[in-house]
Amino acid sequence: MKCSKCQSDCTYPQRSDGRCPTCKHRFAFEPRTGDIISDAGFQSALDAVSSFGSVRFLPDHVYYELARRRKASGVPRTVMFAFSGVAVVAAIVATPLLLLGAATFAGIGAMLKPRPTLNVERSTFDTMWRRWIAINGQPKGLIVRREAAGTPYRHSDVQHYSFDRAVICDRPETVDLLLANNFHFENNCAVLAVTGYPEHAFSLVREMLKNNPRLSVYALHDATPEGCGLAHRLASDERWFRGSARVVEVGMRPAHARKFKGVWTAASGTVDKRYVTDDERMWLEKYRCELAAIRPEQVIKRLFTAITTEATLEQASTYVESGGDYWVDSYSFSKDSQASDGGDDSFG
Amino acid sequence: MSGICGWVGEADDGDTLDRMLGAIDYRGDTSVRENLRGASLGYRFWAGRPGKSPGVARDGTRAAVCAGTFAPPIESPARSVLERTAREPAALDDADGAFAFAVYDEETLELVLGRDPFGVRSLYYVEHAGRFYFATELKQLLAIPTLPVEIDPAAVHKYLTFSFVPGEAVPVRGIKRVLPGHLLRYRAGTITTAPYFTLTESIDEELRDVKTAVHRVRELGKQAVGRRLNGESEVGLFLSGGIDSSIVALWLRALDAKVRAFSLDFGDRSVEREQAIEVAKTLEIPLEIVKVSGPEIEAVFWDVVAKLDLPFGDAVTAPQYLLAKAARAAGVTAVFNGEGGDQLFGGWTSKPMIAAEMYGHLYEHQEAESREETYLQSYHRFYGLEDALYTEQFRASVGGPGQRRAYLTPYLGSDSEGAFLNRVRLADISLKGSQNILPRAERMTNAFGLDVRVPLFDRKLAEVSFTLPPELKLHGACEKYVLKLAVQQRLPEDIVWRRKFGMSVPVTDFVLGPLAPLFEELLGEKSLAKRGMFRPEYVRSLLAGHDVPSEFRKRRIGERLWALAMLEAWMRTFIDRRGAT
Repeated sequence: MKCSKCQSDCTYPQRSDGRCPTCKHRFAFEPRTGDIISDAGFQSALDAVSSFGSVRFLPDHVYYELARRRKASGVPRTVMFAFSGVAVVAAIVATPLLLLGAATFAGIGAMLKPRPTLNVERSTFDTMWRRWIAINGQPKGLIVRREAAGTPYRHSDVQHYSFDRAVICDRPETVDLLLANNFHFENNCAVLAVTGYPEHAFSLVREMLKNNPRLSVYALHDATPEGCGLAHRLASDERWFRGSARVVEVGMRPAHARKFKGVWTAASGTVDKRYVTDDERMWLEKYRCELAAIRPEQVIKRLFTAITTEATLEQASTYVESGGDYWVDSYSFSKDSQASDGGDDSFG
Repeated sequence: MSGICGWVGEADDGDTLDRMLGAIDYRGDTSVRENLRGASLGYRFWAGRPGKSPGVARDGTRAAVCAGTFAPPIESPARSVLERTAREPAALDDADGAFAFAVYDEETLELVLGRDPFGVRSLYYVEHAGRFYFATELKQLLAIPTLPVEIDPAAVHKYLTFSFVPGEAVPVRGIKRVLPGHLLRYRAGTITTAPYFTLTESIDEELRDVKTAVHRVRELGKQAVGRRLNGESEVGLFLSGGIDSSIVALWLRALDAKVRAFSLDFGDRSVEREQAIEVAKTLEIPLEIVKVSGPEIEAVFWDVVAKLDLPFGDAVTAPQYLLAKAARAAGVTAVFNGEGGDQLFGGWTSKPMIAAEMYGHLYEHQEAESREETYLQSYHRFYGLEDALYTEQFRASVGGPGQRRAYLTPYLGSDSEGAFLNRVRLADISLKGSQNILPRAERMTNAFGLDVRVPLFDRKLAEVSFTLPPELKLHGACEKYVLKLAVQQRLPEDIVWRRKFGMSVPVTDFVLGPLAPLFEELLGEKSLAKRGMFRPEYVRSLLAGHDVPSEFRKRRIGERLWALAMLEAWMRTFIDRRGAT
């Protein structure tokens, strides 16, 4: 196993004290005793979510990265085909002994079939995360909120201005991802969570948005029933942008989430039909998928493309009307996802 | 147009002054020398130009040389500066235009150097071998045969952040420049400098009335244009199709000036070509479209480097050069432009700073980040990328931390009085305006012997812009609001109120396309190894069309490569060959 600090390799007996024999750095994990990943694997996940230290990220991104890796390193498809093949042959030959064997094989095969939901418990990850930080310190690029909230504006004239555009998110963590990576600065863009985050700037930023009659608004969200209704809510709620701005849907919808099988979470219950198609509703009645399942670099890149490409609005051809005084563009974050830019599972 | 130079100190028995005058032969066909006790002054100019006034004057023991023009034009700029500096303090309260001057008194042995308020003209100096030399171009000082020429890594470090070299230092060790709006006095080996012009905010309550503000801006703007007309039968105008140059076009026409406009055409990558055509048509101005392509830029690249004199890392310089070439071919001797609208009236560059200001420091990694550092990021060159770009050797040579922040601290460093917008504007004017936009525009037009006129950087107009309530500049998200109101009835609505796109040079297409062989040579392994300044792996990645993962804008690749290539080309021309072309 490789040491994440000095990169030297060692055998299990050589690290019996839990330390690298070369540099004496303590290992955080030991796969031989049940940990799901090695230190080098964990470091590799950190490198992936931070794009080798150039993009800031949250612990959630690491969690999904580990889950994705665990899924990817699961049972190869060829092995599963072998199990299925044995079952089929047994069914054809149909001897009692073979049938028994086939049933066993089929059962094992079913157990090994990749499940659509997360295969790493969150509590397991949280324990690993704490252990990693205790030994290695906070990883470079980790987004950590300051205990004292950000210093609010200090000049009275600032409130008279506005932003060219606004990204409204369904959860504070997505706001953190964008602000910590300077998305607001690079794109003259307000970033808020519909829940009222960040508290110290929320009211004033929302007021400032009213100073721009040509504001473009982008709704960024998880694949959840609430997320899929976000653009609708922003466009119809008078406290937000009813009648005052074009709202563009750029969040993760079920069609996109489908490409992230393995990092969904299970769900149940009925879904409001007004904001989703029948197909989306059927998926949302069983599953959810968070935006954090996508690597930060890709989220920011695709959001940037969505807000800067003229084609965005040209493609936004599906208008949802209700009451006639607002409308929603339905260009989706997911529509142009392709294998070439990381689509399908590799999109993450 | 013209240029000056000279020295003070022990008598020079060589031909140094002639060499210094000869280094700027494209700035005139005639040289005049004024020899005094302990000093020699030189002036180079185009004889017989319309509106050209004497650039040399003498009065008893005092003599002056002055390059450029005052606004409004005066009979003798040199005579004027001789009189203005005869008393202490110098009478420069109303001095405006594009000038650089030197005044020497052989009785007191004092030399006074001065630059125009916003820095259209430049003025460099160096102390060497018992003499104090000065000149309007760096290449004139490099013509001093015994002057050692070595790169100054600290100045290069700043260039790599800003894409131009800010402040007094230049990238040649020992050479400095007089700051815009400043006077420098040299006497018996002692140098003192002081500003004669400083912009400060002082909101005029009367201007809270929008109609009054609009009227004042309109009148002063028109006057600013009028002050820069100098009897030419026809003037040129660089018309981008944006609001600023369109306003200058409008005011020129309002003053009955005969105007010929020139606009850039980048083919299907043109951003504002159609708008330029529309403005020209509306104002009945003949318009010449100047096509710019990669091969055309390649053909003029080395002359652009030579004429720029200092490294300027914005790719707009080559298209500006081609515009000036077209204007010269059309027969005009002076060209107007719309530079300054963003800096004085709140262009789009304010917005990122406001966005950053609103959110404050939310995260631990921002705790130590100052407002100055946020501003430095807005230049989008290599600030924050030093680890990727700099070699250990170069990093060790650039000096300690805080050098770049120091330029901004007077404006952004504290929560002192004044609107935030205006504080950002002041930082923009002192850096981007005075040390980048204006000098590079002057040099690109002067490459063809043209006089550049920048009416929006007018002293009175600028002073009034800082008496306007800031919300009349940036109104919500609408930039330059008061300027737009001032001209909305005379220009097409689409020109006035559309969202700004900026004059965008398709630089990445150029440098990764037709210019690729040139750039691969300038920034190839051999070249980088020779300098030892930059990490080849990062430069190679840029040349392959890849930037760091956190950069999503493709144009940044071209912008960064252009800045690096321009620096290398500048070092070859000015460090390796001392400015010889």
